[in-house]
Amino acid sequence: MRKKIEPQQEHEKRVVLETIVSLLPREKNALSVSFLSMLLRAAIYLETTVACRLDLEKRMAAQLGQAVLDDLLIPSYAFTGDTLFDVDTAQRIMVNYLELEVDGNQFRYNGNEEHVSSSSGDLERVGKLMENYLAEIASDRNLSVSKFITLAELIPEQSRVTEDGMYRAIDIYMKVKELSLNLKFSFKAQTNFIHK
Amino acid sequence: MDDWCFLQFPLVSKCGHIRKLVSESSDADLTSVELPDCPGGAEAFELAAMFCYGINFEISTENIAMLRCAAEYLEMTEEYAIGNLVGRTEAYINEVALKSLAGAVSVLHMSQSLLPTAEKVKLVSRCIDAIAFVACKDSHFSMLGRLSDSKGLPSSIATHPKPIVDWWAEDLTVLRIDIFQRVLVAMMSRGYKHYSLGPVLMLYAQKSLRGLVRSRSETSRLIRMLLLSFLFFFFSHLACLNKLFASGGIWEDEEEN
Repeated sequence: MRKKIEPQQEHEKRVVLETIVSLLPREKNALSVSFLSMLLRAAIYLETTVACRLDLEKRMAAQLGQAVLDDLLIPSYAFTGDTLFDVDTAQRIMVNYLELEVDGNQFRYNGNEEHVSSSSGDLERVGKLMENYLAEIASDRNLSVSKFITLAELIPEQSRVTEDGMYRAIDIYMKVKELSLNLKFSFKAQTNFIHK
Repeated sequence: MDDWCFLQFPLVSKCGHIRKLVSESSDADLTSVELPDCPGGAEAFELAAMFCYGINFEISTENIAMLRCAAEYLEMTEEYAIGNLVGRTEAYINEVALKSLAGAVSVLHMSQSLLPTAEKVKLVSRCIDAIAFVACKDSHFSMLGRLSDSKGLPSSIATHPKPIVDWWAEDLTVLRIDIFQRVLVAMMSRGYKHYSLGPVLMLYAQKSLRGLVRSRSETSRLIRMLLLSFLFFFFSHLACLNKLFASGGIWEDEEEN
């Protein structure tokens, strides 16, 4: 996806975005996850400072329980034949969420009221979200096996009530891999036949 | 550059800057002076000149910023004439323009193109203060903060108040980002709860980043799904055809016969 924006304009919008992010309230739930996702997309597109993008990723992670699939499907702006979606960013958000979950559990036992820790219902919801995400990006033939496995292993076991979601994602991934391989072979076979 | 023809006296008597230019000039028969960098340009100068000639015109929030800045540049102070333009514009600013939030925002917006003079005459900082003052006074969120601190409200409201967009939030979106930032910081200094700034920030972001990033549409997803299904379908038929040709199929049989 090529940029259609003037460099001067791009610079101005970059400053605007970085300033807005610096002004965002610290409190959870002050802003919706969808809004944060929109800001993150813009930040990636405008190539703001990494600090700005990481800040937004952390904020999204803190509210991941409220997120929908669209919020995680951030387009990749790489020029090369990379995946359609920015998988690394989504992965970092998920990792952040899991780290917060762990911290939250520790605080809960200490009776610390300050840290608002998510309930196990939240965990199940996020687990399902991650599975849906996995299924969605599984259809991208540029997704490497290692990347797929890394993401799949992130999904916490406690959140998996059934294995349906995981099975579906793996199924899609394997079908797509098989399809792209077979397409290569079939075209090769066709050309061989023609040249005989 | 515009050329203006004026009678010398009214301008020289009221504009310290022009008086100095004339007196410092070595040319005895000086017929023209240059006024580069006059804040507000020709439009502002015309109004200032009209003032010098005693011609009435309306001062409003739209022109007050350029008038004040032009008056500053031309040194139209009490030193040169009683009731001069600097004093008149100051009176309007304090008594009218900064009394309402809309007025203050309008003046601030105009000031953006009148820097650095607008900063020099403290117009920018006064506008920011006025906006912060009115916003905090009128908003229920500085009040809500105080109430929740005293634990007077039920816990559900105190911990999860729903930020509503204040009536002035839209007005602030016309401001440049650095000025906007200063306004918000001023508001927080006056006790406005940071949490409640969410909606204002959202509005500003939506306005300035509009058209930059399109949200993922359902149609693009549908198209991808359709393409995928088509490819599966295509491949399954291709496999059949391949098997047919690879084994030789009907043609070899015909040849042998």
